Amino acid sequence: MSALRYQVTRGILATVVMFLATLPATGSFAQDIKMNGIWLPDGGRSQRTPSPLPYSTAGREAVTDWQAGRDPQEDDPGRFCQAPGMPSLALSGAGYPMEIVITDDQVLMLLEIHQQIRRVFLDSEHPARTLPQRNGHSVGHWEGNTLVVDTTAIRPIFFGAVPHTDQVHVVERLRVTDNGDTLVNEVTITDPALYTQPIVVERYFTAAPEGTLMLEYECSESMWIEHEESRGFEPFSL
Amino acid sequence: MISRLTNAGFFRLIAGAIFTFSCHVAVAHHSPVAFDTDVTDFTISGEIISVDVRNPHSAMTLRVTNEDGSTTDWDIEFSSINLLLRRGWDFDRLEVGEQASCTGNPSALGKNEMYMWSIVLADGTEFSR
Repeated sequence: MSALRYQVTRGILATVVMFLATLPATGSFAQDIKMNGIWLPDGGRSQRTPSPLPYSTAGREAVTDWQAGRDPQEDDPGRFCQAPGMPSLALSGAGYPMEIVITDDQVLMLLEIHQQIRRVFLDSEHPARTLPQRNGHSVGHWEGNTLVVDTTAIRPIFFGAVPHTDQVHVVERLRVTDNGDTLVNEVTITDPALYTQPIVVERYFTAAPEGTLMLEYECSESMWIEHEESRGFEPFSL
Repeated sequence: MISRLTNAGFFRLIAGAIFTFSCHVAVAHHSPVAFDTDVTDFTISGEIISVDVRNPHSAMTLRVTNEDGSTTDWDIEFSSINLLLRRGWDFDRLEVGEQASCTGNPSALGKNEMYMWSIVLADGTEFSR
């Protein structure tokens, strides 16, 4: 084979490979990449959120001001079942599972903790105007077997793993490795209002054993009981 | 442990958990700063007075007999019902009136509180994280 012919053949092959890598998800594609299913956080392999976070001077002041006067125990949002939303949700170190359901136009991330649902709209654009929500608005696309998720329109919240303003932007790259046994999510968070550099954390998940069930996560029963007692009622046995 | 949490076992365990709710205790969810996480082997033993297994955290009251013969009720916080189920905890075994030995983190503020990571029942059965 001449050198020219070799180069042309190699170029054509490279083009074909790149084309195949950008094909949209199909039913068999979703099965092939083995991302559908229940995943358990692997705290041992996952990176921790950097400590301290790379605050700018202004960012540190803003968060410190917010924390001033708040009692870490009495004013702990966890006592009131407050879900921190994104990006903390993507970084959660708690041991609750996540189920991924891939459809033709969405990827659903069903998180047991706080019964959260994340919808990733495939091959879509963020709306020009949207209601800021705790988990924001997510769009995604496939780059080969990697799901790239872009999330904006996140409500500003200063509690949770990563305090953030309305300028926060999260990009996640999820891929399955180890022949379907491991899910890796590389999470990149930027918020120029608070941080001097992106926060990058790699989270690992392990495929859940056969028979694993996703459970409901009703969190506010204790608050309801306290209310019942304050009203003089015998708390209903939930 | 997770593979054991299939339909049959699941509903039996949930039923057991609900049974324990019949004896209500004040439920707390403390911030981690409430406990001294540097100390992991803090242990108290006594009688289970109440158990409440739920999300986000579970709670138990343990009546501990002091050296002078008096008793102190300790508030014990532990993990969520979901995580405990997956770790194989059998809530039927956490019965009011049973003797138990609880190990975990003591209160960071010197209160009669602890965060429990493991429990040993009178017959030696142990449940832990």
